[in-house]
Amino acid sequence: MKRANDPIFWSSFGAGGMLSALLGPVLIFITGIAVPFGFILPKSTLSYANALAFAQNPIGKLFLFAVILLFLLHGAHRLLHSLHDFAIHGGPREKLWFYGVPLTLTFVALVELLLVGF
Amino acid sequence: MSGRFKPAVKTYTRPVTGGWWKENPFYIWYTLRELTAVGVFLYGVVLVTGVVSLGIGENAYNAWRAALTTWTSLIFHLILFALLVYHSYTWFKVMPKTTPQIPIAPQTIVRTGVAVTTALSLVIVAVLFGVTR
Amino acid sequence: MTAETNTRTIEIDVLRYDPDTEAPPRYQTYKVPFQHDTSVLQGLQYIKDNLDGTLTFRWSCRMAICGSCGTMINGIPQLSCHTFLRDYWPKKLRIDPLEHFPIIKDLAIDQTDFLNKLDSVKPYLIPKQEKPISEGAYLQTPKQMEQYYNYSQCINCLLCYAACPQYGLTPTFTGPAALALLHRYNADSRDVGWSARSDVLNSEDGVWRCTLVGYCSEVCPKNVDPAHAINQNKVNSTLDYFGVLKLLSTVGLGK
Repeated sequence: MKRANDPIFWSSFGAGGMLSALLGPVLIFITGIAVPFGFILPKSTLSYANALAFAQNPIGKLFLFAVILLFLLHGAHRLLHSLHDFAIHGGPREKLWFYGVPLTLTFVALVELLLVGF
Repeated sequence: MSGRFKPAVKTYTRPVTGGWWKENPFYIWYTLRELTAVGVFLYGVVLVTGVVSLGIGENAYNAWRAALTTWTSLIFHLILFALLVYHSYTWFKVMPKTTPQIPIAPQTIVRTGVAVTTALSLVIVAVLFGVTR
Repeated sequence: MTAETNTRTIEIDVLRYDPDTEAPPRYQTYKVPFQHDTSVLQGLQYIKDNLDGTLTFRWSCRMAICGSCGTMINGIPQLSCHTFLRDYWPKKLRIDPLEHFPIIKDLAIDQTDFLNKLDSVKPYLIPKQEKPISEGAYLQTPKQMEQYYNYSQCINCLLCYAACPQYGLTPTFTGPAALALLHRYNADSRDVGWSARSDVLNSEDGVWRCTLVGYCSEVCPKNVDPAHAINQNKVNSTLDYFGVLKLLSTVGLGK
């Protein structure tokens, strides 16, 4: 029987699922609902100065990198399996796209995170 | 699967359609649960666009911020929020099925997960509220 | 006359299939009288005894322990001896053979695939050494038994296979009951067979085909909870994949 390589992708799926379960709602609330409209939190929370300071901070960098990488990989893994649920057959090419896009996007984000300096 | 048992000589095999997920409320809720992954993925993309705009410069970043103040963005994020809340809840609901045999009731695991998420969320908002005053 | 002995009539659509003809399956409707305690199985027996002797269906114990009478009742996998006509009246009842299995005749399905899958998980104790009876019994604490007890309650009724959409989409999937029984033996303190069963467990058609729909555990009449058996082994399989399974000593796995 063919040994599955699923453990690799399942691990990132699991980590991403846990992270998004714990932090997903509150992050969306802050960045997408509260701050842009000054609701509970002032609009200045996400000012350029604040955002830059956060991204320049090593912990802030790590946080953004982890959230981006794990949220994207989690979503991709599950959507790939959903394809199968809808009887849409995915092979190695689909796998390449579904994991490749998150990794590429994360790489781009990583580059920017490093470009903003420390 | 092949093995020492041989199948009956003549049988009728019913076709399995891609529409099975609609046939039963249990399957519908499962499908909804899995599709919350769209929300997780899209929010990751939102963060990528934010980080990229930040890296480009102040003007680009402020344009990103402005985009977040539109009605479209608000509705989009409200939907994402609902998806992630459902993701969070169902994540903890299935968690008992992934643990080894431990003498903790499944309900306890679910409630703890939901409680920790709620508490953590309130703490984060409270801290941000405090430092931005 | 009390409500319990009151006789009512319910309409039942039953899927018929005759392998001796080329005709595809079709529904046949029967009007079945029933009382408060009449099970669906008794309804089928009434049909066979009084209305249509050609109707074929499996049954044995009439008390939800033999696992023979699994059918789809209004699209839900259930044991017909364990389901009651009173809960469907006055609506119609629809009885189909268990989903995801080939039909031999009427409600009798071909279980061959499951039987071969069961074989493949080596569903027997593999002890460290053969122990002759003269050396006495194996000793096991209640806590050790808790590790596998519910998984040992499986009656092979196949409701979980009918419930599992992954088995429907990918029939090579080992499936809920077989994997639950695989775990039952791995988790037994008398067994050291992890590596004998790991090929099946770690394969793409082992635990990794499962997406935790969880319907298997929902329909199981014996509370085996196959979803739990499979999904706790995703962690074990991952640890095994990275070569660190030996770290897991709670149930003595990785032997």
